[in-house]
Amino acid sequence: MSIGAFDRRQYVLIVRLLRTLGARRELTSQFGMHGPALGILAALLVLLGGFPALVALTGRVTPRDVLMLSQTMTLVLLVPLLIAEAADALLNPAEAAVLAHRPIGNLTYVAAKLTYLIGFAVVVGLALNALPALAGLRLEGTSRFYPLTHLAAAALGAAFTALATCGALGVLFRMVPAARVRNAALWAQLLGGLSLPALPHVLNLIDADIRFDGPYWSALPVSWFAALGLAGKGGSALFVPAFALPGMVLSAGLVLAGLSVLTQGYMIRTSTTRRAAGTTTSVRRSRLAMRLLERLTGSRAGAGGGLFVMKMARRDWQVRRTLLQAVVPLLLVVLTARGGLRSPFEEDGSFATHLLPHIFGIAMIAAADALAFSDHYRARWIFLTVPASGLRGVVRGTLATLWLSGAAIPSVVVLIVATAAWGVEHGGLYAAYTLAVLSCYLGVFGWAQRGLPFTRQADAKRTIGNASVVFLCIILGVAAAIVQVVWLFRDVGRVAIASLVLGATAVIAGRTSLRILENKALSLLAAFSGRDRRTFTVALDEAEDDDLA
Amino acid sequence: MMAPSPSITVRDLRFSYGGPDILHGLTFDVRPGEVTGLLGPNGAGKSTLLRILVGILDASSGHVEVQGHVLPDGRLALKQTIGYVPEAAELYETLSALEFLELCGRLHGMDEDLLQARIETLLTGFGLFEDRLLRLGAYSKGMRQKVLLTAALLHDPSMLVLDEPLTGLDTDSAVLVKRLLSALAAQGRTVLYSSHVLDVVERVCSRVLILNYGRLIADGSPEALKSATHEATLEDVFRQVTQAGDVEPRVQQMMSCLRP
Repeated sequence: MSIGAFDRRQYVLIVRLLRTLGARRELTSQFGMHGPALGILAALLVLLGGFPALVALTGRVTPRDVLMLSQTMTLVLLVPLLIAEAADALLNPAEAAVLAHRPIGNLTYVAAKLTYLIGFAVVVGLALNALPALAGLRLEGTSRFYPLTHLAAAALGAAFTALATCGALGVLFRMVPAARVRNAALWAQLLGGLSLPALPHVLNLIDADIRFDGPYWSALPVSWFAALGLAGKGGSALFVPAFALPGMVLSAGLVLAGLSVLTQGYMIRTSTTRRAAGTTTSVRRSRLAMRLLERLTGSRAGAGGGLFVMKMARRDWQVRRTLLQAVVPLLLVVLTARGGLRSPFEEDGSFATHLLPHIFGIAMIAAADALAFSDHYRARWIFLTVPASGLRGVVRGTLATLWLSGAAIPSVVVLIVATAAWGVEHGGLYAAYTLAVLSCYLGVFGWAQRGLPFTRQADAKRTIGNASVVFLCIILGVAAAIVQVVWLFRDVGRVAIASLVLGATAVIAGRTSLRILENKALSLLAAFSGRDRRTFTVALDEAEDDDLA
Repeated sequence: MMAPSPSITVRDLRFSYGGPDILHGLTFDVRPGEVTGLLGPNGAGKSTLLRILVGILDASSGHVEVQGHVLPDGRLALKQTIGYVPEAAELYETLSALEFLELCGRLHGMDEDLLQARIETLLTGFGLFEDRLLRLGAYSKGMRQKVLLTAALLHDPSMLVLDEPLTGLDTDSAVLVKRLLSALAAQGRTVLYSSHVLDVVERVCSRVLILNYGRLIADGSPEALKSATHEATLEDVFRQVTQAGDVEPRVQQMMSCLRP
C-alpha cells in the first residue's frame, strides 16, 4: 500500500491549519496549542509539580529520586491525557471527510498530527517539571545547570511518551476495526490505570523482591530520561546498558510498528470510522426502562427523554470516556482496600468501605457533568422543535436516568453484596445509607449540568472543569468518610437516622435542582439557535513563506 | 473515429465495510467527454462507489483504474487530477470561504496568483465573492454547496465526481451548475454525477448507470433506457428497473396512522 512521500509544503499547511482551527476553538475536544485550555492545564500541572518540588526541598532525597519521581509523574499523567488527545486528533472522521480526497500523503498528514501531539506532550512535561527543576538546585550534588538538564530530560521524556502512545494506537489500528479504536484505547487506559495499584498485590503473590536501586529499572524509559537529566552527575548509574538496551529496542519496535500502520491507509481507516457497526438495544429492555422512567418522571416525555439519555450515554464516545475515567477511582478504591471490604460497622472496618458510596457519587457527578458534551451535538436542533413540556420531560428524564443508573442500581448491587457478606441488618443499612448518599449527591450537584444532554461540542476546558468538580467532591467525600469512621458508623441508629435525613435532603435538593434545570433549558436552547456571523479579515497564514520558497 | 479510452475502468468491484458486501461485482467503463449519471435508491451503494473511485475507500476486490491510475496504489496521483463534491457538506466551520479555498488550492500546489484569480472568478460566478470572509459556519446549506463546488473546480480537474451536487442550491444556481457540467464535459472532461433528481439527470447526462442493492442493473443513454423499457420518462425507467412498487398503498397506510 502506498504511503505517499513526505511533502514539506503540505506539512506546513496542515500544521498551520491545525493551529488556526485550535486558536479559533473549532477542535474544542482537543487541548490545542494556542487555546486557553492548554494554558489552564499547564497552570494546574505547574501547581501539581509542587509535590516533587517539595520533596526536593526537604533535602533528604537525591537528585536521582527527584528525577525518577518527576519522570514517573509525567508519564502517569501524560499517558491518559495523550490517549484521549491522540484518539481525538488521529481519528477525526469529520476532518477526514474534508481532507480525504485531497492529494495529501498519509505520511505528511500523520507527521503534522504527530507534531501537534509531541508539542502538546512537551508543554505538559515542561509544566509539570518546572518547579521540581528549580527546586533541584537545592539538592546536594547538582550544578547550576541542573534545571536545564532536568527540563531537557522532561521534554524528551514527554516527546517519547507521545511517540509511544501514537505507536500503541497504531498497533491498535491493526488489531481492531477503525470504528472501535477509540474505545479500545479507552479500555487500554483503564486497564493500565488499574494495573498500577494491582502491581504490589501481584508482586506479593509471586514473592518478588523489588529493590528501588536495582539495575532492572534501567529497562524502563523513565530511567533513561532521568539518567539524561543527571548527565555528567552520576546519571550513568540509572542507565545499565544490559537492561536499558532491550527496553529501548522494544520501545523503538512499538513506535515504529505503530507509526508504520498509521502511515499506511490512515485516511482510509479514518474515513471508515463513520460507518461504525450498528448497535441496538433489546426491545424488551427498552420497554422495561421506559416503564420505570415513566413511573419516576410521571410523564411519557420524561420517559422518552430519559431513555434517549440512557441510550446515547452508552454510545457517545465523550460520555463513555468520562464514565470509564470516573470508574477507575472506584475500582482503585476496591483494589487497594486493605484487608478487603470489611463491614463499616466493625471497629476495624476498612476506610474503603466508608469511601465507596462517595466514590459512586463522584462517578455519577462526573457523568452528569459530561452529559451535555457530545460528538453528536449537531443533532441538537431536535430540541428546538419540541414543546416546552417535552423539554421539561427531557430535563426530568435526564435526572431520573442519572438517579436510576447512578444511585438506584449501584445501591441494589451494594444491597446484594453487603447483605451476603455482613448480614441483613448491616448490609441493608449500608445499602440504604449508600442510596441516601448517592441521591444526595445528585440532588445537590444535579443542577450544575452544563446544558441539555448531548447538545454541546466536546470541550477540553470542560475536562479541567470536570476535574475541579470531581476534586471538590473528593474532598467532601473524604471528609464525610472520616465523619462516618469516627462517629456515624459507631451506632446503627445513627446510620438509620442519617440515611433518613440525607434522603429527605436529597428529595428537597433534587426538586430545587430540577426547577433550576427546567428554567435553564429554554435559555440553553436560545444559545444554540443563533448563528455566528463573525468575519475574518486576516486570511489563513500564507503558505508562501520564505522558508518554503 | 476511435472512441477515447475510458477514464474509469471498473472490473468485478466488490466492497464491504466489514460486514456483508455493499457492492457486488460491478463492471463498467466511463469515457471522457460525457456526463454520466449514477442513479439508485437510498442505500444502493452510490456514494460508496464514488468514494472508491476518488480513492477515499479501498475496494475489497476487483480492478479499479481511474484516469490511468490503478487504485489503491495510484490514489495520491489520482487525487491531483479530480474534483470531488462529497455527499455531506463537511467544512471547517471556523474558516472563512476564502481561507478554505486557499487551503484547498495550496494543498494541490497551485500557483498563488492563479489561485487567487480562480477563487475570485468562481466565487463571483456563484455570487459568493462578497461573502468570502464570512465564516463557513454562518453559511446556508446552498452557500456551503457552492463552496464545495468551487473547491472541486479550483485546481482545474480533468475529472469531476459529484455526489448530489445540487442539494440546497436555488433554481438559478442549479441551472448554472447544470450548464457548467455540460460545458466541462464538452471540453473532454469526465463528469460522474450522482443524483436523485431524475429530470435533471435526464437533461444533463448522456449516459446513466443505475445501481440497486450494490448491483449495476442498467447502463445506457436515457433515450436507450426509455426505449428498452417502453417508458416515457427516466423516472418511470428507474421505478421499473428498481422494481419500486406502487406508492399509493403505502401513502394510504401512512395516512391511516394519522388523524383524519
